[in-house]
Amino acid sequence: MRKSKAEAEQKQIFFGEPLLYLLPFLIGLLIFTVYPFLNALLISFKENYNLMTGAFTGFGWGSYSRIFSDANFINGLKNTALYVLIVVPVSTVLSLLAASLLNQKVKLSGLFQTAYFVPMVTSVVAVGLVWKWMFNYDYGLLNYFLSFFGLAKINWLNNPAYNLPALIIFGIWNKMPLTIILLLAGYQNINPQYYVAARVDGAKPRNIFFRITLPLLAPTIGLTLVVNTISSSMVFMELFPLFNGNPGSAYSLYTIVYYLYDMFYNQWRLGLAAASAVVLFLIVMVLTIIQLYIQRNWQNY
Amino acid sequence: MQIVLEDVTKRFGATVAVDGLSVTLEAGKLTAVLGPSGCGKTTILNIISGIVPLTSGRVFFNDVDVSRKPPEKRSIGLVFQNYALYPHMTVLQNICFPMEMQKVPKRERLARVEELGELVQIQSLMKRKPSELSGGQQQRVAIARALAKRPEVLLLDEPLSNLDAKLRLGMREEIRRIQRESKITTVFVTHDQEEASSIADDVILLKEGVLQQKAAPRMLYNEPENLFVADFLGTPPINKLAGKISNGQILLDGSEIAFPLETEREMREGQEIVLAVRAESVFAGGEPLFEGTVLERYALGKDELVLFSVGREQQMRGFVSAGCPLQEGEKFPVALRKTGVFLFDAHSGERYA
Repeated sequence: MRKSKAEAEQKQIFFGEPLLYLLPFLIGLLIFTVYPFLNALLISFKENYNLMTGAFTGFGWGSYSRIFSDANFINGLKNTALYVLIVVPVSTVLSLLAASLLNQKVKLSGLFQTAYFVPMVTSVVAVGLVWKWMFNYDYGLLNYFLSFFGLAKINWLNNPAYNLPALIIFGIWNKMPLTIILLLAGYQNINPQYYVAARVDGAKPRNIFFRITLPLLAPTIGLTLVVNTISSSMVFMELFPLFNGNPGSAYSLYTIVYYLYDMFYNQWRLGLAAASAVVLFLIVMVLTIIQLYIQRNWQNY
Repeated sequence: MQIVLEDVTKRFGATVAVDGLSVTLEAGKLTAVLGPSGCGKTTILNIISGIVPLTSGRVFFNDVDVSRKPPEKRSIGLVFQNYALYPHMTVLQNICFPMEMQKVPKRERLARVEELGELVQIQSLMKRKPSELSGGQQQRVAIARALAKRPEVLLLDEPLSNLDAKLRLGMREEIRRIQRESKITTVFVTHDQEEASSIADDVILLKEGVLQQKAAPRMLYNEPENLFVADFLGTPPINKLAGKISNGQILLDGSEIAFPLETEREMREGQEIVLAVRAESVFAGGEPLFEGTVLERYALGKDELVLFSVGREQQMRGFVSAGCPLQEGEKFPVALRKTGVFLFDAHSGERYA
C-alpha cells in the first residue's frame, strides 16, 4: 500500500525535533528550578557549609536535627499548618459562594466580577499595607465593624495572640480571587440544561446546589484545593507589610518559609535554610499526593 | 390530560415566536408539533412545560389555568433534545432523582424504577453512567426519568434528532409503544414530517408561529387546508403548477393546457392559482388531460419517478411502475386521479378545491 503524503512527511521528523521546541523552556527549568533544587538538597546535607568559600566539613543529618530542635522552626511548622488548615477550606467555601453569585445574571455582575479580581492584580505588599490600616487598633475598619456588635476592640497586629488570626484573614482574602476565577470557569462548563431539567424534576435551589452543581464542580474544587494548599504552605510575603518585616509582633509568628528566609539572609546558616526548604518540599508533596489520591474519585463521569 | 392553548403569544424582543395560537391537544393522545426550523415548535413545548413564560394568552390543563404555574407544579415530564441526563449520576440515580425531590419513599422509588426499566427496556443498564450509554439508550433513560414522577403530560423536544437514521426508526416505534402502554398525553416536537406522520395521532403544523392546520396525519395529507400544508407533507414534494382562471377554466401558465374547474367557490377571471398534484396522483393513460414529455427517470425504491415537462415552462413528477416503457424524450398522455389534486390561491395559499 502506498504511504499517504502526511505519513511520508511525518517520517522526516527526527527524534530530537520535539526536544528542540521544548529546549527554551527546559533550559529555564534546569537553571532556575532543577539545579537550585538539587543544590539545596546537597547543601542541606553539608556540615558547616560556607557559601563564600564552598567549604564544608562533611555530609550528615546535622542541619535536620538542628532545625527540628529549633523552637522557631517548630513554631513555623505549627503556624503554617494552622494557616493552611484554615485558609484553604474557608477561602474555598467563601469563593464557592461568591462564584455562584457571580455566575448569576444579575445587574452589575460584570462590575462585581472585576471587583473580585482586584486582589489578583495588586501586589501582596501594597494590599498588605491597606490591610495594616484595616487592622489598626484605633482607626481600623475591622475594629469599627466589631463595635457594631458591641465587641471589644482587638489589637490585631500588636497582641501576639491575634497575629495569626490577622494573617489568616488577610490570607483568605488573598486566596479568593484565583479560586473564584477557577470556580467560575467550572461553572461555565456546566450545561444550563441540567438546571432546567432539575427544576422540572422538582428540585429546590438547595437541592440543585448540592445534588447537581457541587458534584459537577468537584473536579474544579479539587484543583483549587491543591493549588491553594501549595501556595498557602509557602506563606511568607504576607508577614512583611503586616508586621514590619518581622514574624509577628513578638517574633512568635514564624512560618516555614519565613524561617528559611531568616536562616538564609539574616543568620547566614545555609544548611538550616536548605534543610527547611527540603522539609517544606516534602510536606507539600505529601499533601498534594494525599489530595490527588482522595480526589481521584471526584471526577465522576 | 387535555391541554388547551388559548390565544397564546410569545415574543422574544421584537421577534414573535408564537402568534395567537389557539389549539386543543386531546387527552391520552400523541400530538406532534411540526414545522420548519424557527417556526416556534420548541417555544410551544416550553410554554406548555412552563419553562418559557407567556407574553399573552392562557394555557389550561383540564380546565385548570396553569399559565402562571412554574414547571415543577404542572405535572409534566420533559425529554430534552440532548437528553440532559445528569452526568454524575447512574441511570438508577437519574430516574430516582425526580422521585427523591418529591420525597417518594425508597421502596416505592425502586418499585417504580423497576416498572419503568421494563417499560423502556433498560433494566440491565441501571448501574451505568450516561457517558457509558449509546444515544438510543440515553434516550430511553431520559424518557424513564421524565415518566418517573407519573406526570400527566409527557413532552418530547426533537427526541430523535440526535440519533442516526436507522436507530431513529426503531426509537420512533418505541416512543409510540411507550405512549400506548402508558396512555399518557404526549406532545412531540419535530421538523420531520415523516416522523410526525408515522407516530402521531394528531399533527399541529406551524409556520412562523402561526397554526396552519391541526389534524390526523392522514387527514393532513389528504385534505390540506392551504398550500403550505400541502407542500410541507409528502415525499417527493407535491407538484405545483402555476396557472390562471380563464373562461371558467384552469389554464396552466406557458401552455394551452386548460381543464374544467371543479369548485363551488367563486373565482375571478384571471385570478392566479396553483394546481397542486401529489406524485402518486399522476398516471399515464386513462382519460388524458394533457401531454407530457419525459425528461428523466429515477429509481425510488420499488417505484420509479418520472420528471416530465408540462407545456413549455413547467415540470412535474409522477410515479410509474418499474416496468413502464416510457423513455426519455417520449411524449405520453397524462391523467390525474380524483384524490391528491388541490387548487390553491397563488398568493394567499387558500384552498379552493
